[in-house]
Amino acid sequence: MRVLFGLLVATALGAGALSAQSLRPEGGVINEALRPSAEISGAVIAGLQMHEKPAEAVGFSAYWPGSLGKDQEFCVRVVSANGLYDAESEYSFVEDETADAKGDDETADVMVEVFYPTKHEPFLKDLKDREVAASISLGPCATRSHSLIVASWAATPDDTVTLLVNSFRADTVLARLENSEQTVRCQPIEVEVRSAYDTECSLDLGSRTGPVGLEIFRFVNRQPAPVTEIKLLLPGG
Amino acid sequence: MARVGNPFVGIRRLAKSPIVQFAVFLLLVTTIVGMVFVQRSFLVEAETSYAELTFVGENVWNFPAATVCNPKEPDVTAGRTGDEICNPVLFEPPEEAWGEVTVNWSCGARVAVQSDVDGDLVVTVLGLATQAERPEGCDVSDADPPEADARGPFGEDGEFAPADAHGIVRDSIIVVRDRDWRATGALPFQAAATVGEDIGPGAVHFLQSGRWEARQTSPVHDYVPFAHAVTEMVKKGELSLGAEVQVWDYRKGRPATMWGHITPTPDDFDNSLAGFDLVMLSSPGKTELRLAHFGFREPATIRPDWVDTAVNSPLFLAMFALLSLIAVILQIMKDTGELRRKTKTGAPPE
Repeated sequence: MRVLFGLLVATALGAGALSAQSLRPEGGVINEALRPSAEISGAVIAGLQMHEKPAEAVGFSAYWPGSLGKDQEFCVRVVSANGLYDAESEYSFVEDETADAKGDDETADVMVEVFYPTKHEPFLKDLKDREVAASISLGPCATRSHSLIVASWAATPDDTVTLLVNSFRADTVLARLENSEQTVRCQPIEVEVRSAYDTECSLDLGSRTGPVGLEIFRFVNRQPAPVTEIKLLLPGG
Repeated sequence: MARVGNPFVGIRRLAKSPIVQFAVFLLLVTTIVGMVFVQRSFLVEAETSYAELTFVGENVWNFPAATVCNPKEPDVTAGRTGDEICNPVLFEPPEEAWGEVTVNWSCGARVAVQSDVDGDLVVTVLGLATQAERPEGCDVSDADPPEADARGPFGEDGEFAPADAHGIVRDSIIVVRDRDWRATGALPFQAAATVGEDIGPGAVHFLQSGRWEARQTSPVHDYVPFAHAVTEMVKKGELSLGAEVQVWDYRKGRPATMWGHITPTPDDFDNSLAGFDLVMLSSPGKTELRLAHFGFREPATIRPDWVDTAVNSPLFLAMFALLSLIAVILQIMKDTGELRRKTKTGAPPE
């Protein structure tokens, strides 16, 4: 079923090709910083993404839920695990009217390119796998929305999403998708320096579509910390 | 012609002798070689509430009163009354509460030892170390499960058992209450060790204070009679709060094997942070101390060099003093001989 779902989406994309739609930063530039020492992050959710970032890659895509209004505002955040690099910019949906209209149907699910004009390309190209986290949330950056779109480092959908969490050095982190019987035990990320985030949770989407709730449980000193709840906005549904 | 019995003449002749000059040259070369080809070990003493160990060889720990909590598939719907030792969300009910627990750790087993804020000691089984995390003497072998070199998710360590009793598997914990921990004896270990955890927001387990010493010996120490089997301290320093410390064998590119022990801290728990004392010494080799601090991209590396040896080693200071003394005596003898020769031949002194 999952394979079929992936094939359907891939077919809709033209075997992984990006559509003529993209997410573009307001004003054409992104707010980013590369520091000599780490910045302390206060967010629990650092990234929600598909695939591991390949070395040399910089840009990524959004696993676009077509049901979203095209006039929505989004906040795109990129942060390196070592806390040296972070970016936080407001984006909007842009449709290239000169390109062939692939999706007359506005609700079609697509992989939308996230335009990422970084000034720190060499630094980002050096990062790979879990060393960098991308998140795309609904609404302006100031609101810290917990409704997230999945970012993809390979421009193709996958059955598994990875949640990168700043657990605040919790002993154990668990994650559970809404209406799922299985709770996932998250693992510490295997990187040299863990400043911005420290834990990864791999979640099997199965055949889920549309908005899906996700709960994150942290345990410190064997005691539960407050539960963090987010909503994944998936295509379909 | 030299008169018989004049010691200065004898020394003068000795100074001119190629054998003596060769011997002095040899002494100089030996000193320099001894400064370069050193075997170094690091002593680390720390008060900390966190340490990670990857065991090598035999490691048996005995807890007179402890509880082993073995993991289960997490179930966030499992209710709890609040007084369970083993949180039912994460663990099966314990077979025995506060009984004697003796554990023989397997080679390659990774554990985290931590003091909770209430003073309880908790040993968490992290699983099986990868090849890169293991010290010498505990390489990944054919006997290990296929997943041994790539730590899998929960329950995928194959048939590997981190310990030989109590059904301990990956993610098991051993809990020792504050008062029982004080009565527990030392926990000795032979392992690769990381002391402290890179501190970050919310960190409750970290290194609180400590110190380190670099001790070294060289072939000179083995062959010079008066310096036999001497290990000298050539550098030392303090460990600051929040540091993460590891001793690394840079020649072999892997963690150094440490011999050490963990003991309850003698401090008053009511007036200080919970923690334990850890003392460890690395096996002699080409070792360096790595100090990681929050925010820094790479750990700081401490590797004493020949300058530290020249400045701090009593043996080399003594050898240099001896060489200088010999050089001065030979120079005086040479100058005296020159003066006598010129006086005899009537040449004016320079």
